[in-house]
Amino acid sequence: MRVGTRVVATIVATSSALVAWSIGQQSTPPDLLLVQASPAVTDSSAPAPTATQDPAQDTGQDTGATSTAPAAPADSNTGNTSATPTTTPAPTATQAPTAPAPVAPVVVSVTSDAITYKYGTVQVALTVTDGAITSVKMVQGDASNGRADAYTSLVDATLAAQSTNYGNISGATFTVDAFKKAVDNALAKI
Amino acid sequence: MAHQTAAKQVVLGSGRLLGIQRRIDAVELLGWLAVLIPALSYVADGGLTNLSDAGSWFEVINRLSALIGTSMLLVHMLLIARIPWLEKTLGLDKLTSHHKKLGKPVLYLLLLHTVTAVVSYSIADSVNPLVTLIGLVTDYPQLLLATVGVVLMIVVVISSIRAARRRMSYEAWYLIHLVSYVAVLVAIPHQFELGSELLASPWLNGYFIALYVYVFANVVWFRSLRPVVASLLMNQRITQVKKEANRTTSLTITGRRIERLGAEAGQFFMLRVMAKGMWWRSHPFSVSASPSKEIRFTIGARGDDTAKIQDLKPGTRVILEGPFGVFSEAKRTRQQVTLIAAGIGIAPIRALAESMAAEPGDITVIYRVTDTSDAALLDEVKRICQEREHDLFVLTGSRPNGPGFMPAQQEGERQQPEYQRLLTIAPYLLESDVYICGPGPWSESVLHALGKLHVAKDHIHLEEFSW
Repeated sequence: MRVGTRVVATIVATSSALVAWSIGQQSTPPDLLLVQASPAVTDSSAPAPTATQDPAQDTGQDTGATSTAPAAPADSNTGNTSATPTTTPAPTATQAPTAPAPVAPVVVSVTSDAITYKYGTVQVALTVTDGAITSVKMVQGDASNGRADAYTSLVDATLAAQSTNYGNISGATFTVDAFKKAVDNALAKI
Repeated sequence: MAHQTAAKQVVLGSGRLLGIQRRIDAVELLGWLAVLIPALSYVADGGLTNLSDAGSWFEVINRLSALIGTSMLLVHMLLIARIPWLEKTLGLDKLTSHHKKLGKPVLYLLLLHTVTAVVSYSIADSVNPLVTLIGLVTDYPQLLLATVGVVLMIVVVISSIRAARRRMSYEAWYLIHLVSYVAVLVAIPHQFELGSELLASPWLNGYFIALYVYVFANVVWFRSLRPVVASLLMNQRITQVKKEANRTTSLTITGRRIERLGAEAGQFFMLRVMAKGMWWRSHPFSVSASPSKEIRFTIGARGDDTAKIQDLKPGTRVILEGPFGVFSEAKRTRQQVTLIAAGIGIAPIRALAESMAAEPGDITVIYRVTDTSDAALLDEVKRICQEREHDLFVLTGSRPNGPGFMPAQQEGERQQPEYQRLLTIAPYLLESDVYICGPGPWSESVLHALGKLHVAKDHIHLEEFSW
């Protein structure tokens, strides 16, 4: 290659890399959620409504049930990642009957079918308060290979979108699909 | 035969040189572009956002090294797929040298991908990387295959580094190198079934599928099917085996409409002789006569199969792959031409002398031999130069003590550096296209002399007959 061509090519390549980078900065896809172990959590706390809604709901219900209070504050974050698959069924069960008293909102709790997919099984439990999804818990779900973080992100995304209408998680496509299926399945049961 | 070429017209000049350079630049840029596109697509997709902790850095390096490594691997394979449009621009030897240069970087990138993938998952799961690796490999059969692939690639690269090549027979290296196709194939499933970038972006997915299909289709067609089909259709066979001077042999190959292969003087074929013990590997041989209804090779006995070639019987089937090389009139841009040959390097030089468009005096032929009574094709070269009125210089004598491409100077002779002696023989050298064909170290010496004379690289055309 001639020197001139090389220089021009380098300049063009560098500038297109910069352009690509700035395009990348503008697009804030949920694509990178799985990538970070803890940051996924910090990220998810950034969109205010979701982050505040979730713990508040949990504490509210938990105090109502007076059962699992200590775990509540950390629940949607660290608690979810490690303990979800085994411990969730219990709180879900308790949530339904103990709806906060004042206005007596309609609280429905429903557990999805177990969705078997390529790499395991996903089962979720939803709490729907006055038609809004207020809590998503993992009933079943293999937590290896970063999937625990994927679930955390997926729970947040579901609460934020109030549906399964959100993007993919890079590196966890099948898990995401299975999770969405489980949520849709649960919603259909209501 | 000279009268045949009299009518041939060749366009020369700086415009043509510029065209040649542009084509080379365009092809090389295309190669870089093929590697750049996936990386840019990843970055534009927001791949570099959210770089907050070690885990995310590992993840980004993992993704980028996978995308760049894979596309580079495909370019690496494309370089040896013997694709005519690539070959006509760069020539097989240049393609091969690019292929060699890319081997290690490709392996390093794919190893980097393997390591960073495992580390980033191990950080995400906060377990030790070894546990992650075992988990990944046992959970995902595609990753087990890919791991096998990367191990095979390590073996292939190790077998190809110079130190190993020297200790290994060509046969062993060749067989190991065939394994690299397996290594590439077994790594494919995990890219399309688990690769997040490919799953997330349909167009990037399509891009890689297209690239894979293009590479493998070309490899299969041009490296194996087409030569076999052509050999059978043309019924390519050896029709004459003639012993020449200095332990060389001329093989004449004929076939039905064999001229359709489109060979030019100065080019070479990969010749596969369908005889016992020889059929499984091919050898590169230059055509030693202007190709027409028959193709002639002149082959020196240098051990291995070349020694057996002298005993071949007429009628033996052959498979010709080619023609290859740009050591031909295709790269000529000047009226004056200097052809320099040593040893069996005379084969393509003789064909060029025979067929290049020229007025009397345009072409100077320099033939370096140890002994005129035992020099391959010397009589033919003499006849051609006489008929076409080329200047012929046969440099006879023993090798110099140090490096050098000319005979040692006698005592009492005025001692001159070789480049001055060369300029005395070929005064038009500086206005010439120079074609050099001979053994490696000898060619180096010629190049050294030409460097001293500041002959531009664009006008030096080199073909090594052993590579």
